[in-house]
Parts: sequence; structure tokens; C-alpha cells
Amino acid sequence: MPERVLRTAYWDITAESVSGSAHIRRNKPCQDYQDYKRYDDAAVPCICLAVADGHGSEKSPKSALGAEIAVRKSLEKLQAFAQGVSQKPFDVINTFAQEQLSRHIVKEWTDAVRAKEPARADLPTLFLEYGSTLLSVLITPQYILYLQLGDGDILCVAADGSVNRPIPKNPRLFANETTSLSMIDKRTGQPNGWLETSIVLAPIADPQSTPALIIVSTDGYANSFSSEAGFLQVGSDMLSIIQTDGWAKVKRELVGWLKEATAIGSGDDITVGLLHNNMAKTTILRGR
Amino acid sequence: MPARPGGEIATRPLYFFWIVDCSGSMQGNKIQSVNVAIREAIPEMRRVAAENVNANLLIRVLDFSSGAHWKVATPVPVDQFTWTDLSASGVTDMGAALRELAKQLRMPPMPERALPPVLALLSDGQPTDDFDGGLKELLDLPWGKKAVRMAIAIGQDCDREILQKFIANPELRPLEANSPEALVNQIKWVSTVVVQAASAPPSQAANTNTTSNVPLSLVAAQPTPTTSGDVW
Repeated sequence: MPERVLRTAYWDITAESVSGSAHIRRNKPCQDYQDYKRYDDAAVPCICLAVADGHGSEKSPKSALGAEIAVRKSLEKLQAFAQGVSQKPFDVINTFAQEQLSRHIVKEWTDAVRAKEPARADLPTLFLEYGSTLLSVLITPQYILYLQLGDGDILCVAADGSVNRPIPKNPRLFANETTSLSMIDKRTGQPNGWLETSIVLAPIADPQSTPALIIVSTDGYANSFSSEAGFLQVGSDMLSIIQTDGWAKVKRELVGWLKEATAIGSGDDITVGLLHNNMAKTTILRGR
Repeated sequence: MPARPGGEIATRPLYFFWIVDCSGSMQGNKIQSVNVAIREAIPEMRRVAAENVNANLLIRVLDFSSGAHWKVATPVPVDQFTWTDLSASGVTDMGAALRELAKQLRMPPMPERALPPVLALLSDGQPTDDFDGGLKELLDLPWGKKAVRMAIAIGQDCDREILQKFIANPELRPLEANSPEALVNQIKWVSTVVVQAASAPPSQAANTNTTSNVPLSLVAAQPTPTTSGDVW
């Protein structure tokens, strides 16, 4: 059995957002947001990445700020989660993630939105004004946690270049309709976005066999490709480019690729976060 | 090695369906006005499409009278679309038209990444077949529910309740066209404002009392003054 690597420094990480070409033509700001933190020297070393897509509709005029709050609160809670559950067995961590983590993130987000406008009593309308999706990844030496609320995509690329989705696509989310941090239970009036949140925890037995690359993106990216297969190809192509030209090339070119995608594709804001496992034993053919 | 990651990049298709009542009651001035109005609207549609380069506007035409018939069965890019005059005779098989639409809004042939399609229904009468059954087939489909369903009521005898059922959105009403001028205006509005809204719709949060995922204002629903004296 391979020895567990008790660190996370072997992961490269980056994230970028570009304004949608259709948004630029209409003088609309980018309503996506992204950020990442790495805590390689923490008691439990961990890396957190989050991307969020503010709805941008007339009913969600402050959704760019809502997306920023979503990312900030998610990063805080993921880091706290990683530290809080250290030493626990994997099953306990998984149970806690499924039962508590998304509730905590949604509560932090709604509390932060309320704090922005404390005089407001019309909470469903207020939350909708800031409405946003959220996709996050937490990597510790013990496990990888994937979290998704709303549309967008998380792709895992194996060392051989094969691509899969750790969280299956939600068939309800199409035609620009998405679940959201702003969702409210109509009966109780309480925020219930946590009910629509999917969380998957994958144990790390051996860094060499964990995903070689994790891609987190807002829906503007997938919508720029003419087919699902064309979008999934991003995973194997990205890994191939990293192998051939190095991580620095991907970091350097990422914004240009995203600008090209929105210009001749969806026209929507696009955000992509990348986590590259440089210990993975990649077998993908160079120059494929 | 790929120059950039991923397969082919493409704009999102926006399917626009003209669904035209060609029953006997549309004979004469009404169907002629429809032909003229839609033909005149095509340059406006092209202009809006040119302003929304991330949407690939594709047109289809379905007519219904005794049965439903595709006049333009294959989606045609708006730049290549030309209007062929329709003629009127027969009964009003609107239910059959909705069933035909339902066949085309299944996935496939509809791609999941498409923009919400626009269904523009023009009618002056009352269905003579199983309208409710056809409507149910349409609205049972994910794309049927998500489509932007607009209706233009031609003349005062038109059954507005039926058109409201088709729209299935309390925020929208059938557009009134009781004269040739009004018909031109309503068709122009559907061809421009609705196409514009459907070309770049923002995300909508689910379960938020929003009945349409393409926000529309109802500016054009105002009555159009008649100058020709010709009122239907």
C-alpha cells in the first residue's frame, strides 16, 4: 500500500475570469468571481478553490457582489471544515460534509447578504438580488471534496487523459435556469439552497492515482462548445498541454483561451479554476 | 498538440418557429397581411441577429389548417431565410400543430445547449381538434416548458383564452392585432424585441416566481391605432 503523502504542495492552482463578449457589448460587468487559497503549512494542509456565477438578470442586479461573497464565504468555510474534521475517520468526515457543510455555507452567504442591507425585511427579494451559483473544491492529504450549487461544471481528468464528472449533471439545469444560493423555501420562507447542493468526497489513497487535473468552470465555458464531447475534450487537451509545454504555459494562455471561447462561443462570462496534480503518473501521449 | 483546449467552439442556436393559422377564416386580407408583415420583418430579424453574434438565429415555419404542415422543415439561418406566401383554407387543427412542435422540441433533435426557442403562434380562430392534448404534449417537454411562447390574436373573433393557455404565463397576454397595421407592429415586435431577449438571456434562479426564463416587457401589447380603416 502506498505511503500517504501528508501535504498538498504537489498541487498547482490557478483561476481566471473573463467578461462575456455579449456583456462587454452591452456594458455589463463580469458577474463571475473566483479565488483560491492554499494552506500548505496548516495543521491540516489544504487547498480551496471556488468559482461563482452571479445570475445577472434584472431581478439579480447585485449578483456580481453575490458571487464574490459566495466565493469568499466558501473558501473560509472549506478551510475551517478541513481543520475541524481532522483526525476523524473518512466516513465521519463524509457524513459531516453531507449534513452540515452546505448548510453552513448557505447560512454564511445569506447572513453576509443581510449584513449588506440590514434595513431590508423582504429577504427573498434581497437574496435574489444577490443570487449566485457556487462551485468549490477542497483538497487535503486525505480527500478531495467537490461541491456544486447551480449550473457549471467540475471535470476530473485522470492520468491517462480520460475525463469524468465527480458530480453528475443535473438534468433540470438547462435553458439558463439554475439552482442558487438565493433559493427560499416558499412554505417556511427560509433559505434552502443547501438542499440543492451536491457534495462528493473522494478519498486520496495515493497522489499518483488521484486526478491529474481538476477543472472547475462556470456555464459560459461549456456553452461555448458545440457538443458535450467537445467540452470534455478540454480536460484531456489541457493535460496534454501541461505535459508538453508545462504548467506555466497554461497559466499564461488561460485568459486568451477563455476570451476566444466567449467571443466565438456563448458570449457569457467565463470563469475557470484549475488544480493540477504534479505527482500524477500521466500516461497521456504527448502531442495527442 | 492543440492550439487551445477543447473541441469546436460555436455560438448557441436560437430556434425561432413561426406557427401560422391557415384555416379558411384567414382567407383574403388576413393571410395576405401575415405574408406581408412577416416578409417585412425579416430584415429586422437579421439586424437583431447581427447585433447578437453569440446567438445563431435559425427559422422554421409551420402552418396549420386541416392538419399541420412544415413549410420550412429544416432550420434556416436568418441570413438565408426567405418567406414563401401562405394561403388559407380548411379547419383549425391547432392541436396537430402543437404535436408537430413537440416532436421537434425533444432532445434530440433539440440540443441541450440551445438558447430557449421562440414559438410565435398567429391565429384568428378556435381550434377544431384536440388542442388540450397537443398543448400537454408540448408543455410536458423540458424545452416546451422553457420555450418563449408568444401568440398574436388576429381579429376580434379569436379565442384569446386558448392563446393564453398556449402562452401559459400569467405575466404575458396574447398580442392584439385587429388591423393590418397592428399585425405588422406585433410581428415586428416579436421579430425584434423577443428575439433580442432570447438571444442573450441572463441566468434565472429556479423556484423564484419567475414564469419565464427570458424576461420580456410588454411594450408592444398596447393597441395600435388603425389608420387604414380596415378592422378585423
